[in-house]
Amino acid sequence: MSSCKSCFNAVCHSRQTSLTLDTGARMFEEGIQQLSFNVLPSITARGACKTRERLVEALTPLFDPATTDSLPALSRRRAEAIRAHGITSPRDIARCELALLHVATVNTAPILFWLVVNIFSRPDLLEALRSECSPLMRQQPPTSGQRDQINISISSLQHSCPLLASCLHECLRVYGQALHSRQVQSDTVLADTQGQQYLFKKDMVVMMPSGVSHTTPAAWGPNAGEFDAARFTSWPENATREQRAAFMPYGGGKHLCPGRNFATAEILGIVAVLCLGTDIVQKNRRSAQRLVVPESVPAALGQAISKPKDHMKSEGLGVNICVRKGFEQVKWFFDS
Amino acid sequence: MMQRALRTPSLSFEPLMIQHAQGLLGVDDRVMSVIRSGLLGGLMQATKPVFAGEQLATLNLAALGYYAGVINMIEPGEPLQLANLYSWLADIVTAATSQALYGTANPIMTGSTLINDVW
Repeated sequence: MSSCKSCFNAVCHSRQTSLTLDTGARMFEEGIQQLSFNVLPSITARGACKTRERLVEALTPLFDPATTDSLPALSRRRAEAIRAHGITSPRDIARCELALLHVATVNTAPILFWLVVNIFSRPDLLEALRSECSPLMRQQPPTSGQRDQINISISSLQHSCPLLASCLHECLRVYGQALHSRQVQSDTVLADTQGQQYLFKKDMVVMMPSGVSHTTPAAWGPNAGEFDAARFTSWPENATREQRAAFMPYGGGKHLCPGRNFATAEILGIVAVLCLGTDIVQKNRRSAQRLVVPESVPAALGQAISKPKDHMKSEGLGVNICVRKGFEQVKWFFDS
Repeated sequence: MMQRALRTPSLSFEPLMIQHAQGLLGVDDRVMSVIRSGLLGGLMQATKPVFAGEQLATLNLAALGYYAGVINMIEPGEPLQLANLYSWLADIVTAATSQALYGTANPIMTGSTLINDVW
C-alpha cells in the first residue's frame, strides 16, 4: 500500500507540473507512427526515441537472469521464450517487452475514459448502475480503528452486471476504430454473404476498418451514431446476424486480442468502484457541473480507440472526484 | 466477409507486426532476424495461457488492487482535483498494468516520470 500511495502521490504531482513534463509525457505514444516508419528516427522522432530509451533502461534490470524468477508469470514466461530463441541480453529482452507494455495500455486507457465520461454525464444511467452493482458489495467484519472494508468479486462483476457490461460494449462500438490489417500469404478466395467471390492475391495488404462496421445503420439502426447504454444488455443472445458480423472490438481469428479478458476485468472493476463510491463532476471556475462527453478524434494508425479531441491541452477535461455521500468510511477491495 | 477474413489462416497479421517492430522498438538487425524466425509465435504460446484461468485471476487482482488503492486514497471532503481526467486515467492504467506485469517493485511504479514516458 505504501508503494501505491507513493506512486499515487507522484502521479498527482506529476500531473500538476509544467507543460514541459506533459509534452514529454506523450512523446512515446504520440511518436509511435514516426518510430514505426523507421526513417532516421533519431531525427524524425527524436523525443519518442529518447523516451523509449529511458523505458528500456528502466526495464532492463527486471530481465537480468538473477531477478527474472521473481517476475510475475506473464513476464517471466515471455522472457523465457525470448531467451529460448537466442536473445539473452536483458536490454534486448526489455526492448522486446516494451511492446507488451504498450499494447496492454494504449487502448485500455482511452476506452476507460469514454466509459467514465459517458456514465458520469448521465445521472439516470449512473443511478441505474449503482443499483445494479450495489448487491455485489460484500461488507467485511469491522476491525477496530479501521475503515469499513467492502469487497467486490471480479467474477461477479462480469456475470451479474449486464448494464455495466453493455456500457463497455457500447463504448467499444462507438469509439472502437481499429483498422484490422492482414497480409495475404497465398492467393485466397473469400465469399461474401451473397456468395460473391473475391480473390485476394498473395502479398496484398487487406485493411478492415471496424469504425465503419461499428457505426453502420444497416446493423445498428438509426441511432447507430449515438451512445445507447442498454444496446448490448442481451448480447449476444439477441444479436442479429448483421450485428455479430459487424462487431469486432478485439479483432478475430488467430490474432484475437489475447488480453481482452484482462482489459475487461480491469475496466469493469474500476468503473464499478467509481460508480459506487465516488461522484465525478466537471470543474469550471464557478461551480461543479455534470460531466460533458468531449468530442472524439479518429484513432491513430495502429491504435484501436479514438481519443478526446485536443486531450493534451486539457481543455474541458478538468474534473473533481469526490467520495460519495454515505461511503466516507469505506475502503474498497477486490477478490476473485 | 470481414469476419471470414479475420479468421482465414492465409491472411496474417504477423508480417505487419514484424515490419513495424524494428522502428517501434529500436531492436538491432540480429534481434530482428530472431523475430523473423518465429519469435512471435513463441511469445504468443507463452502469453495466451496466462490470460486464462487462475493466472488471469492473478493478473486481474494485481491490477485491480492498484486501482482500489488509488480510489481509497481519496479523502472524504477533499476532492481529488484533476486538470485532465484522460491523462490521469492513462497514468493509473499504466501503473496498474505495470504492477500486473512486473510486480510491485517495478520501476514504473517507483519512478513516476516513467509513466509520463509511456504516454
